[in-house]
Amino acid sequence: MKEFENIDEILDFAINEEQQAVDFYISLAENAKNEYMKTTFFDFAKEEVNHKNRLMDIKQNGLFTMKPEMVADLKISDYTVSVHPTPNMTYSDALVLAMKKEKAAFKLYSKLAERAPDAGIKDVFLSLAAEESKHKLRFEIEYDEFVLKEN
Amino acid sequence: MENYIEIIDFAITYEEFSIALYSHLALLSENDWLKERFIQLASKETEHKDKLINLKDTKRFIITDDYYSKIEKIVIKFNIIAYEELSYKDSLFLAMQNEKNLFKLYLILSEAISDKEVVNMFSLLAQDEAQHKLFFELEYEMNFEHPFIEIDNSKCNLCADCVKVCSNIVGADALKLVEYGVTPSTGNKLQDTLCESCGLCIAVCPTQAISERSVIKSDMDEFDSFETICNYCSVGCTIKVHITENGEAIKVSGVEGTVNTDGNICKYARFGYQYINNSKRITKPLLKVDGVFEEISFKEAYDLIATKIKGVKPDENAFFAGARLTNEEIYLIQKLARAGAKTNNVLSMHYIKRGAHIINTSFDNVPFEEISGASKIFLIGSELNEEHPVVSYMVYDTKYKKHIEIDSVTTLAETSMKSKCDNIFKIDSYYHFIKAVNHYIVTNKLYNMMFIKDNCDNFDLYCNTLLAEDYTELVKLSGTTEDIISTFAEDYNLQMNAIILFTEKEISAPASTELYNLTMLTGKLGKTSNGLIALKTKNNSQGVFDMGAYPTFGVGYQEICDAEFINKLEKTWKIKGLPKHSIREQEVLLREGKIKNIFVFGEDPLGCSIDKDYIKEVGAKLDFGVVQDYYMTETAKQANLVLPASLPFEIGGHFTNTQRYIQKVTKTMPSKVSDNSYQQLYYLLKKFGVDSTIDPDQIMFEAISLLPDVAEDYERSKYKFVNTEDNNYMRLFDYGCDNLTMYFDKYFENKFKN
Repeated sequence: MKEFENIDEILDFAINEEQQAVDFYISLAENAKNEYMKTTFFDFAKEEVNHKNRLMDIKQNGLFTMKPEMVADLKISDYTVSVHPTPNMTYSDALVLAMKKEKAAFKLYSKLAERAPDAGIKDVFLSLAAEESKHKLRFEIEYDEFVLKEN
Repeated sequence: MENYIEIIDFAITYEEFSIALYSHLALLSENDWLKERFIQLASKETEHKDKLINLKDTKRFIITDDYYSKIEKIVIKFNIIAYEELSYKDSLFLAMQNEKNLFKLYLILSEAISDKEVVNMFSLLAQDEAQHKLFFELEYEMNFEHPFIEIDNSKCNLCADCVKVCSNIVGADALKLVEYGVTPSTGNKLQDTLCESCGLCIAVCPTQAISERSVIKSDMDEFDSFETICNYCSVGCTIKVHITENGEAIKVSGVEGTVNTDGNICKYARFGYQYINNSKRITKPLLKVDGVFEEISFKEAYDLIATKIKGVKPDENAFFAGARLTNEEIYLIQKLARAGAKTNNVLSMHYIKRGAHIINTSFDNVPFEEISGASKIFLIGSELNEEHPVVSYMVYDTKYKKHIEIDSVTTLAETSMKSKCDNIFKIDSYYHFIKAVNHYIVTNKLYNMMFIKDNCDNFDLYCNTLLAEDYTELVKLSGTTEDIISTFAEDYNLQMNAIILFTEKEISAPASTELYNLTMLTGKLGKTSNGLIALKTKNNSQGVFDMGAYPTFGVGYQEICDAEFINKLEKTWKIKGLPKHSIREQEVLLREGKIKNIFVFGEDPLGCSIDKDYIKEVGAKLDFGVVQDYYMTETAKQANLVLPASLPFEIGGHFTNTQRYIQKVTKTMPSKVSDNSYQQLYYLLKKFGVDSTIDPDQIMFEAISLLPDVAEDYERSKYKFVNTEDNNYMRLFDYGCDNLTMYFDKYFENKFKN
């Protein structure tokens, strides 16, 4: 796996992950078990669209600068989930994958917040991280309930 | 209205509990970074609490029954418990659960209320709790999810010794240093890294921040301990077993020994001690009556065995001595076969069908301590870090310090040594690969004639026979290309100090013979830091041969049919009528049903078999089977009579490692069996009027007295080139045919599933 070379590559990676999350949550919403979860998945997808826009904004305006050694410290494998969504994935597998992806995103944004060049950018990443942690826990609760119900 | 107040009060109570719990975590932590984080979290919860109190004083809402019943369900799940006694790990776990419940509570409240401002407040509270939950979860997962190794960063003093040992000696690079301690180098947990679960990080940690996952964490100095030689593989590490007053093993640590000079040990020794505490030890002889085992006395057992042996022709008995037994046990077993049953049918199961050359693999090996002098190391069919990890440390340490290369030749699609090797040659057959390399060397006259002239016999015949073979065919069967054969041959030949490590389990006897031919051709045999290292499966695989548990030779590799040797044996054992013939093909005897009685000591052929049906089929041809073991193994279940076995440190004795270092095991634990293994063999020999002893030192002296005299003008014989005709790789068993190794391998594997 190729390592990150500069901050733009990291942002691109994050933007791409957000887009994947949007697609994934929309497909989850379509297969949701109830209306309530359907709304939740759509809401999350919307939030991820918003994340993506904020990241693109930062990248296009060159707001984030980072020293090479700080970039080298961020290993791509720490933020990549090896499993990919597939069309015939079970609902519980999809939830597990969503949790993993959110967790990875949380870790990346927390790291980027620590390395932010100014307080404004730091806040952006802290709030991104916070939202991802919320998503993660929401999926986890859905998973708990789903698994309990099924078994 | 009332239930609303009730709920907010409940939330306040919970926030207060969280504040107390996080302050407790901060206190537990000796690590400043973590301490700071826990204090921050506690102050965040104080803010939450203030907000809730403020809300209670200013606004009132009605919670509908629908939402109230949802909240009630969550409330049941909260548990306020006395956190003061909780460990760091358990506190984290509790914190995780409580944060999750608070999140749920705030989420429902945010839905149950219509006031926009308040909804926002609850959403934010929920988001905070989600973040906290994830923080605890990451810390917990990263450090407590490994089945054997726990990392408690609250104790870490950032010395980084664990990171160093993992990257420089083990070569797994599984740990990295962060602001507040150590975490897995990639992913969320140690399992996501190349961690080999060797536990060397535990050994080097000065503060017990990294420890074995076990109930007892206290200082091991408070417990008794004894030193012994590890009874898993043939490397022969010295280990220290820590025991409680009841003789229960609670930990194993490394000791600076003859082989593991720096005290390093591997996962087998460190985590594989549970067998000592297994409550299902067999302690009495068990006779199968109508399909059910019944306890009988030792005397009855001896009588029965003697009657059975005498009831058939001598050569209808066969004895098998496990490669985990002490030299003394093996010696007595072959004595029982020869002097008692009057047959030379004695062997170790795991050497059945492995070919005659298998006995020589450890001759003229490079001592382990010379690995550090290698200019390049070649692994032939060696999953070192899984099967002989301590040797793997020596190899990787050399690579790290001297920047030498390691090449691996393997038939596996994926070798576990991948990350440590510079080149990996994927092949189909070791035998044909090595033979093709030899062919290439001979054809291109790359051999070291000076070395061969002085040190080797049979060179011309070897070359002529080899050259008669079709090179292209050899390359084809090896599963690689002519380019790779030539690259390998030239590279190996030109190395000043090339060491080849190979695993007996993977390499057939003819292939190992060709490896010897290769080292002779290139003049690398018997020189410092140059030549071969054979790695055997079991702790005393070498002892099986040294002690003469082999049909065609006795102690010290002396021809068993040699009249002079028979004479010497008869004199020493004070008996007459030793058998004058031997049958090498024990497997044929068994397969053809020519064996009626079988006596298996310390082996589990059925449990460890590669082809179970075949072993069952052979087993069905037997009339009477005796198995001696620690536990009711699969083989023991099929036996007519089961004898209890003694653990090595219950009887004392010697193991001979793969480098033929004879190492003493001292008797340190009381025997759990009234007649220990030596006594059982002693009484059985007595049944045949053969005198013996139960003292391991005396047994060893007797064995030594049988060795040939070395003449004063003794001159070392030359090495001999040997031609091989066929690969003949027909291993019947895994795990060295030892239930102990099989049990640990499976236990270890299972620990990582779930």
